[in-house]
Amino acid sequence: MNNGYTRRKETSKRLTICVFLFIPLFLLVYIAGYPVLMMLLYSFTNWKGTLSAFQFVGIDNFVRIFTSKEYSVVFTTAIFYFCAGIIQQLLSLLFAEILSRPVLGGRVFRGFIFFPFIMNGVAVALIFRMFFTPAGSFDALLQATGHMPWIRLWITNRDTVNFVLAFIFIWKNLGYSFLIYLGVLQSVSHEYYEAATIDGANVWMQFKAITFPSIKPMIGLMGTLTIINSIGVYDIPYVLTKGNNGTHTFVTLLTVTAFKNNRFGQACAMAILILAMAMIAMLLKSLFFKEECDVY
Amino acid sequence: MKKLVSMLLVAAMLLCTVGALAESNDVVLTLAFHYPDEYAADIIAEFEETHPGVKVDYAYLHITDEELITRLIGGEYWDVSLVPMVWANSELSNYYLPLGASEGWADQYYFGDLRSYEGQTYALPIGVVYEGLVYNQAVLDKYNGGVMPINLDDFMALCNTLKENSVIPVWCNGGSGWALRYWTNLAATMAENANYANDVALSRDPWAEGTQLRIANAFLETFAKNGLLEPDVVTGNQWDTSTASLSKGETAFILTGTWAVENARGMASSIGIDPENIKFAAFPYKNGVDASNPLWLRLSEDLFSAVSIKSEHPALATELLTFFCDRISNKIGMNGANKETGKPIEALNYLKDIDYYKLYSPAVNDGRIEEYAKNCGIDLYAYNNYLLDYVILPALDNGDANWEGLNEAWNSNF
Repeated sequence: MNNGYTRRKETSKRLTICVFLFIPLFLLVYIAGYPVLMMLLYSFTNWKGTLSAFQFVGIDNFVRIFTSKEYSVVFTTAIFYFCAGIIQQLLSLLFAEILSRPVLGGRVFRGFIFFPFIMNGVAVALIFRMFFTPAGSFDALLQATGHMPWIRLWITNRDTVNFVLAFIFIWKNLGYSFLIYLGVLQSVSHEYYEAATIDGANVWMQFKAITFPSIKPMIGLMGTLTIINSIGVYDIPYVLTKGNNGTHTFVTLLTVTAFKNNRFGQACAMAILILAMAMIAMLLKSLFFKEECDVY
Repeated sequence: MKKLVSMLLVAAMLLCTVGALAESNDVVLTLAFHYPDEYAADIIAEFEETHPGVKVDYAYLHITDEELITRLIGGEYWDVSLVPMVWANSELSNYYLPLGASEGWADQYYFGDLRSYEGQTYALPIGVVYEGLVYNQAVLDKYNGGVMPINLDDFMALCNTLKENSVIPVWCNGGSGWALRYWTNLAATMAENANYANDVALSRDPWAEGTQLRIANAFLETFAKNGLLEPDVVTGNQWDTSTASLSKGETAFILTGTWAVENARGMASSIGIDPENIKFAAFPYKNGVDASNPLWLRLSEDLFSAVSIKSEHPALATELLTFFCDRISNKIGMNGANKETGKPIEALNYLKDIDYYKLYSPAVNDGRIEEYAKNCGIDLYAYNNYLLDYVILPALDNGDANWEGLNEAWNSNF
C-alpha cells in the first residue's frame, strides 16, 4: 500500500516534470533543432532556395568546398583571423594583467580598450574605410612621421588587405576578451600574491604559479571562441571589400553562394561545415582544458 | 440623459460599422518598389483616380536581392513587386503570374520577353537605359577643347592627359561589383552583334585571345596598368563618392547606364555645382567613327516587376503593373520601356540628333548563361565581380589579367 502510494507519487512527479518540460523542449527542438536538421538535409541537395524541386547530390557540396578554387580562399582568410584571434587573446591577457593591478589612469585605459567592442561592426568598418583609404588618415600619419615609403594601397593590395582586415578584427574585439580576463583575474585572491611576494616570487613566477592556473579554464573557453569567431567573421570584410580581393570568409561567401548564385544547397553545406568546426573546437576545448577538481 | 448617451453611443457604433464596411469594399492592391514613396505617389494617385474603389498600398523596399528573396521565400508577397535579379526565369512561375505570350509583350515593350519561360512573360521592365560614358563637360572644356572624343585613340590620349593633370580618367566602381557589368555588356556593342552574349558565353573559352569579350574586359586591364582608374577599386559602396568626384571634375568618366545622369546631376546640385555639366556619350570603342561607321549604343534593361501568383485581383494587379512600369521610368531617370509611349529622359533628347550613334537592343540572354554563371561562380552578365579579381587586381599587381583562370572556371560547366 505504502509502495503503491510512493509509486503513484513518483509517477505524478515525473508527469508534472514532463508536462512542464514539454513546452521548452518543444520550442528548443522546433526553433533550434529542426532548422539545423533541415539545413543538414538541404546540404546534400542542389536546392536553389525556391519552391522548385531539388535532387539529392550526395556529398558533392562538401567535396566542392574542399576541392574548388572558388572556396579555397576562405580557408586562407580563416587562418588570418585565427592568428588575429590568438594575438587578440595574448594582448587582452597582457592588458588585463597590467590593469588588474592599481595603475595610474587604469579606469581610463579600461574604457579605451573596451569601447571599440560596443561599437557596431559596420560603423567600425566604415571608420577604418576612411582610415585606410588612399591618402586617408593612415597615409597622412605615415607621411607626418616620415614613413612615406611605407604608404601603399592598403585595401587594393592583395598582400596587405587581409592584414588590414585582421587588424580591424583585433581592434574591434580586444575589449571583449580583455573584460573577461580582467574579471577572472580580479577574482583571484590577493592573498596568494602577497604570500608569493613574501616568498620572493617575481611577477613572472607569480603569473606562472598563480594567475595561469586560475584562469586556465577561461583561456580554454576564449581559445574556443577564437576558433569559432575566425570562421564566422562577416561585417568587416562585407562592408570594406564585399569579399573581393581574396577576403571572402566562410560567411561572406556563404551569402554570395546562397543569394547571388542561388545555390542554397551548397550554402547549407558551408553552414554545416561551420557548425562542425565549432563543435570540434568545443570538443578540443573539453579535451585539453578539463575542469580540474580539487582533491583533498 | 442616460438614454440619450446610450443612443448616441449606439449611433456612433453603427456609423463606425458602416464606415468599416464601406472601407472594406475598397480593393486594396500592394505595390513594392525600391524608391522612396514620393517617386510613386503621383502615379498611385492617378491610378486610384482612374480606378475608383481601388486603393494602392506602397511598400518601399531597400532593394537588395537578399531582402527580396528572403521575404518572398518567407511567404510575403505584394500584388506587384520587383523580381529578384538572380532568379532564373524557370523559377518565376513559382512566385509570379504569367502575363501572356512573350511575343506580344516583346512587341509592346523593350525586353518584354527577357523574363519569360516556356513562351510566357512573367515580368516587365521598369525602364530602359542607354549604356555609355557619363562624363563631366567642364573637364572636357578644360582639357579637350570641350569636345567629347568619338574615336578610341583620341579617348585614350585624353585619358592620359587627364592622368597627367591629376584628374581620375575613369572611375569603375569595382568594389560594388554591379557597376562592372557595363564592361562586359560592352563586348556585344564592340562586336556590333546583338546576339553576341549568347554566341560567346556558350563557348568553352569565352575569354580566348581575340574574343570581343576579352577585348572589352581588357580595357579595364589597360586602365588598371596605366593608373587610369580610381585609386581604390576594392572598397565597396562608393557610388556616391564617384558621382561626387565626377561632379567636382576630379573624375572625368564613369561607364554606366543613363539612369546615372539624373543621379549624378542630383549629386552635383546637392554640392552646389552646375548639374548641366553632367552629360552622356557612347563609349568610343573604335576609330574612324562617322555616320557610315557609327558607334553602337546599347539599349539595356534594368530591373523587372511582376504580379504575384498569390494576388487576389490578378487582372487589376496586371493593370497596375503596366500602368506603373509605363510611368515610373522617367521619374527614376530611365527611358520608357514601352515601345509606343515610352519617352527618353529629357537630358537625353539631344541623342536623337547624333548621326554617328546606332541604337541597338541586345538579344535575350540564353537561360544557360545564367545557369553556367551560377554554377562556376563567374557572375557573367550579372554582377561581374569577377572582373575585379581576374582582371583589375592582377593587372594592378603584376600587369596581367588572368584570362586562363577565367576560361578554366567557365570550362567547368562543360
